[in-house]
Amino acid sequence: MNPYISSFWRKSASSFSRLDSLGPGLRRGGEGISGAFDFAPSWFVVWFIVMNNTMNEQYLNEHEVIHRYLVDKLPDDERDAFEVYLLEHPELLDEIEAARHIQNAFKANAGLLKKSRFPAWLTARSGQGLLAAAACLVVAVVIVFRLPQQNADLPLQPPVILETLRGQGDDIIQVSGTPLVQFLIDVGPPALSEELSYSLDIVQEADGSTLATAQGLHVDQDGWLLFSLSDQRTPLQGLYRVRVVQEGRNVMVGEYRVDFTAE
Amino acid sequence: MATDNTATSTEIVTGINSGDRNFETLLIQKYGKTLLYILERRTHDKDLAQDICQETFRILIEKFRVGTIDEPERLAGYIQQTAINLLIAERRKTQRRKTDIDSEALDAVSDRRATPHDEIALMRLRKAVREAILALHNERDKEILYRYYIEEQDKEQVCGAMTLDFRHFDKVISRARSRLKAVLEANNDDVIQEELT
Repeated sequence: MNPYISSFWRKSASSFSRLDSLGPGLRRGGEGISGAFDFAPSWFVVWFIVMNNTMNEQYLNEHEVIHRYLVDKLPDDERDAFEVYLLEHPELLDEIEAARHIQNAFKANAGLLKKSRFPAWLTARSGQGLLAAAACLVVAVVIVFRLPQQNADLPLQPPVILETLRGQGDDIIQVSGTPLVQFLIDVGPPALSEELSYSLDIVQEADGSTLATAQGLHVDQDGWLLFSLSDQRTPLQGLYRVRVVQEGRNVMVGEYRVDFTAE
Repeated sequence: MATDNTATSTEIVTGINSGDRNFETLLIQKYGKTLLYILERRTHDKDLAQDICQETFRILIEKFRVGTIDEPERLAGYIQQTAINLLIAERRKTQRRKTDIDSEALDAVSDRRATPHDEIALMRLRKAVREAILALHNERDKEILYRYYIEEQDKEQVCGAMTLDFRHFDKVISRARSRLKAVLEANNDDVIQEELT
């Protein structure tokens, strides 16, 4: 990013943040350009995009520009910026047309997708819906250490997300002051991961002692590996390594460092 | 100076200004198809879009013949702005103008009628989408696809309605697309498969 613009934005961010509070329509992203744009109103982002020629493939993907263009949901300024980009990249026309054809093909089959009035397990003749519902319960594996019967009473915090695809490197994930921690682990593309099983172990870095292990884990319906830790009896403290291994091939999927601290 | 599609916008503007008619044709060849598409999206009227597209290039060519623009590297923005201004003006009046630009070149870029091959490809696509939907067993995948493609909700709306965060949305839509792509791979429409990638 142009350092002058970056500097300008940092100085200006506070004044724009008030506009942001007016509603989500003014908050159309900008994360593709810089995290600082989280607070940017849409007109500023579009102005930045146009002035700095930063509309690019990443921006198009992250902000679903083609989809929103096709369904006429781009704000005027963003649509103008996209049209200019399109004139400079005419090869995108094929992609837009393909997206339009897919959308039309879905519309031609809309009846198949329309939400049924009853849960799938009540309407599915073959019982597949019932099986799917049961599978959802099974695959959303929750490993609760210590006093599992009491966890329903524990306050739930937002889950801690451990990602493998976007990379967390050697970053230490800080978790503090909560008796029940939920972890969501991204173990890879869902289409590939959902047929596989995983094992997990949590080891204390200081002395190498194993806090917990689990085998035969499967991803949930969103492709996440879910597990919970409860520290109601003995507070979790210190640095731990969470290792996830794909079973069968014994491939390490991810290793994360988690630092538990008291509140 | 290149006189094919590799010519830069600055070369095109300068070339027209120097009196080389090849660059006038090149201007239309390079930007005409896209501009017409943009105008058709905006007007939903092919005839009106074609008229405005033609008028845009007439104005630009006449301008470039006698002068130039401050930032020729931003020619695309100039074209878009000119066309949109014309569209706004056109909506205020219905009189159409006659032009004397290279109509043959414009007709060539505007000939986007569906060929029999296109029709067959679209029929195959509809069939493939139908098969892909029937293969979906997850009600939530279906709901997301319904909201996204049929109700035309964007990611923010889908996530709000289904209490999903953006990461979840990406995962679910990605998985649904993967399944659809697996069905479409039986067909040979590379462009559509790329769109799903």
